[in-house]
Amino acid sequence: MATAPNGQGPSSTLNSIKIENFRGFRQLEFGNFRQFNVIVGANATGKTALLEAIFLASANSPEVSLRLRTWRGLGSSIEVNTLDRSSYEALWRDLFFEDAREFFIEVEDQMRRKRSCRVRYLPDQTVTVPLESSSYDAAAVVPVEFEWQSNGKKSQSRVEISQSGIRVRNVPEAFFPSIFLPSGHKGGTAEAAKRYSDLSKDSQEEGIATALSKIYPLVGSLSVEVDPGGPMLYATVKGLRKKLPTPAISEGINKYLSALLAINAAQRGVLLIDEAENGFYRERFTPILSGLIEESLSQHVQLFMTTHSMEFLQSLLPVLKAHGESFLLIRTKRDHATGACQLEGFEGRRMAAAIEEGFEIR
Amino acid sequence: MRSDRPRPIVPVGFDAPFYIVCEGAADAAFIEALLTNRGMASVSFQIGEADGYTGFRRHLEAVVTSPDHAKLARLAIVADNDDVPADRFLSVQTALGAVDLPVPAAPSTIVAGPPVVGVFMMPAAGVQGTLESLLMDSVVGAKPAVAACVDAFRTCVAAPGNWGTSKVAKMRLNAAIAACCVSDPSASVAYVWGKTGNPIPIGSAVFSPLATFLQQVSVT
Repeated sequence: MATAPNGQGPSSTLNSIKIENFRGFRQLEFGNFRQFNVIVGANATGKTALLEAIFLASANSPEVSLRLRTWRGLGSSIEVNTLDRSSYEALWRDLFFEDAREFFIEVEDQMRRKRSCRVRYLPDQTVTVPLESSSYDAAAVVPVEFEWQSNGKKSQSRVEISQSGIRVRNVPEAFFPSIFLPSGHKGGTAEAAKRYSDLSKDSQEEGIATALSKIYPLVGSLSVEVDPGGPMLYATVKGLRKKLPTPAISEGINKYLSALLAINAAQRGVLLIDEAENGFYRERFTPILSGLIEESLSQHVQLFMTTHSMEFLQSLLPVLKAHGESFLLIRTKRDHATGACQLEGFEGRRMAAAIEEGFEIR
Repeated sequence: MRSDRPRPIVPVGFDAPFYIVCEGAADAAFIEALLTNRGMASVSFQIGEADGYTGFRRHLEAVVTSPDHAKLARLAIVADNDDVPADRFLSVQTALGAVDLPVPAAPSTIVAGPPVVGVFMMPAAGVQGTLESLLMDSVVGAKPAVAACVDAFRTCVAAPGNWGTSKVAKMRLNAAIAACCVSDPSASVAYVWGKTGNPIPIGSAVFSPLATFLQQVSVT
């Protein structure tokens, strides 16, 4: 088992992961995650796949695998009318390592509680779609089965896609809250408004505006307003009479706000941020990272974030020096002989040393 | 490289299988000049600066965290003995052990790897002094009159009597450079190489033990 050095963290945090035949991972066991996990590595070495594996393991609906497709840019809609068996199975194929017909992901937290997700094709139950059929419900197929298991309790779920839409059966209980902010995420609109509204109902919203204005002093108070497109977060802006929708102020402000709201929504859970540096001005990296770490500490949220940016990593140094023992640097790499992705872990102290010495660590 | 010094825009990576860690810019410039003089191709080695003996552990932590650390086949550490040689060598051993690298039992011995590791203590194993002591020894051999004048100068200006070996060596070498280096009397040890009048003979036999040791590590 590839392990990172031993460390301590909040009891609710994930400690290890086991992956078989998922995306670029053929067989992997990796342990000793920390509260703050920074993932680096070249393209196509498994950074995003690691986040996806954690997200899938924590999920409670096969629908999330379709969302992963969208975030990967593999298509945001399914053409039901032209869906034959081959394209049907192609919806899932990229989830599997090479030609595997089953993948398995298991995470374990520091209380040794386990949660696994096993996904397999069910070829004997696949029905070829008659292309000229007028009854699309009759043509529905069940190509894959998702099976989640938490502490011995098993729950199977299938996705049925028909002209009337996607139907998911037998949704199991969630194991721990997890939120995924994909690389192209600019800060949700309705989603952010809902999360803010949830906080507001509990009178917990004030901290968000305070944390935001600490880094972006031009932003004042926040509120949820109803737009033609749905609920939207608005903010007062210094010098302006009227409030502005937060996406209209700045991508960086909106993304930071979205991350703060996600941390609050994922209390005692996991926040997964892909390409965390995207959308932020480099001089803001350190205060933004400090803000995210502080908020995560107060909400007991475990962070997994990928980055390609050395400036972003260098900006972590002050935070690393303060919370080094809570950090783990995870480097992904691909074994050229087997084509499989692997992970290496380095404790925060070494990560800080390498950054201080000006070394490449990505 | 410490956090209070600017970091390079392009971060450091390994591009040679033989990595030499020394205490600073002066050591690095000398080692590069020495190995070039002894015919070692510059592409075959890379030199890292650890910012003094207290920086060895941090620098080695950085080395083993680098994505290219698996490419590191040979590692040499060149350090100063200062006034207590045993303590300084122990600090190098401790730094190596802290990052799970092979630890030589004595200076100038080479431990099988991976990576192969060797430690050279300057001016020589068990001898008090520093890089400057070694360099000044070469000046004494090549320019005895200059060395004699520097010593007379030290007496004449009544340099502090409580200076240890290291400080005395630094004073003597800097005085010799200032007196001889006609193109740049203020040249530091890091920048004296290639300057007209540089009093340090890089081909001196005084440096042969270090050159031979580094060549041995490079082929082990």
